[in-house]
Amino acid sequence: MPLDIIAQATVQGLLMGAIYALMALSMTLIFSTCGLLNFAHGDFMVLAMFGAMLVYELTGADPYLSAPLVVPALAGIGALVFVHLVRPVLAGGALAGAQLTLGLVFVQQNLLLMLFGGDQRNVQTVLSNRHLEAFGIVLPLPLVVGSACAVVLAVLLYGMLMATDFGRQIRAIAQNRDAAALMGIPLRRVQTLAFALGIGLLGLTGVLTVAQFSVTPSSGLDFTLIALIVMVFGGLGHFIGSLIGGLVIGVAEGLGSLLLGGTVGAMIPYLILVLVLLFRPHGLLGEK
Amino acid sequence: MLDLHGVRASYGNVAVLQGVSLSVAPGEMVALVGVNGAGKTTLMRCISGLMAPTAGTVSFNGVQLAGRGCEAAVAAGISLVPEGRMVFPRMTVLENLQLGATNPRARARREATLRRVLDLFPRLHERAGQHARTLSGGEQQMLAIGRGLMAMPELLILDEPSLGLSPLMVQETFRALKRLNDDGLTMLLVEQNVRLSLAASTRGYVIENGRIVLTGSAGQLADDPLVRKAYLGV
Repeated sequence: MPLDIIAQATVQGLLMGAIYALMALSMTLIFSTCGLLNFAHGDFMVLAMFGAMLVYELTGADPYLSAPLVVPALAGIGALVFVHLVRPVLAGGALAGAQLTLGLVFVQQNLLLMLFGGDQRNVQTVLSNRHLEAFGIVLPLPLVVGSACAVVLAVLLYGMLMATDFGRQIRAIAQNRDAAALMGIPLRRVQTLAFALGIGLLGLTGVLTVAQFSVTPSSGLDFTLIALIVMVFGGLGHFIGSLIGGLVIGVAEGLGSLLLGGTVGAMIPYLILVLVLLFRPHGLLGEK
Repeated sequence: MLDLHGVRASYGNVAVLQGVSLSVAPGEMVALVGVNGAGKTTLMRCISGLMAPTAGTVSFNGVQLAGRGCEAAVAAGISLVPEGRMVFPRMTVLENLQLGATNPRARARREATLRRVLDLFPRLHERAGQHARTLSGGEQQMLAIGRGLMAMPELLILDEPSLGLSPLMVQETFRALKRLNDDGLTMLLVEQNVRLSLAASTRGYVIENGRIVLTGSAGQLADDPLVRKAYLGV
């Protein structure tokens, strides 16, 4: 196998991994502050992608330009879902929360089916069909831009978590909820904001990748699965773990499908997850 | 200052508190003693807002707090240093302290309070950049107390501050508490170590099976035959 093809697959995997990492980061944000395993995660992302397509179809504007509309809409939907659905249900335990989000999957999928039909959709952006070429590696420009934005967003999120009062409060809730309450942290407000932020971030991920993935209303579960693998790989609730996990899973997927072909290659991320969990049952950076 | 009247609480069907009344006046250091399972920690959860009593009132400087949550209690001026310390393990000492000053009143004066706390516990100053989980038990207790002070409380409640500490660390912790009380901070001290807490306090309550069974000055309690037999082993 020529070296430049391997290099191509590795770099492409890394770029993809940055996007996976961002998907997992928003899942981690929601899991660690709200204690909710969000099985509708990918569906919110698909919702944002259809939102971008809708804006495009209605106005003819480039899907990327829909971000100022789609992202706040998703964040708002996130806040509403948290306050009116997740919070009341979570009082009944984590399992009830998981069931709720599984229900949300069906609601969103069928809503999109009714509105848009079941065809696979691919939308053209200003970057579509353009490529970046360097050192013999050819990369689709939408992927490069999407990944670059994902990296920037991940850095911003990390900075917010580490250096602001809000970020410290989120980490405090993640590490010990009772102690966080005893500090006088307004749990309900911080959780609502974190949930809205997570879904908003996911919305942005959707808009950024709308030219990269072709989606149907039922694509959400695929995205959820990837985010879940990445989050579990890195250790539940570990932000850095999710970041590393995204890159590893991205490269594993890229190299796997190159070296072993599509079907077997698609299994590689799962195999890596199993291997990691065998030796580190709580994920790469997880403890206890 | 703090007035509890007929506080009842239960976990499911198990009644843990069966009508507890007690009060703490400004400047006092009051001990609450009792064996494991007597309801001490549950009572602290009710005062701090982590748990809502099923009946009774908790008032602080005239403000009703029962069932209003931790934010209300902290804003009113109550700070609980919880049993088992509960520091944020993967945050630095400095971040732990900063989080203590979350309520708006304390947030506005965070830096000044931080200097005072670091003066009181110089060890925390040395370890400001370390993650809390890397501290020794005694240092974590200092951090938990320092974090409680960062909220600028009028009443500091300590749940089992001596638990799991070496005798030397226990002495050091209690010296710090004494100094804070001498400076005018009101304290409610919850302890299994009866000898120690009665020696440090002015007044005390004995709790058994979710009821206050005895109250008096620290000296009276230490001389009481029941206390001597049940808790002091003499």
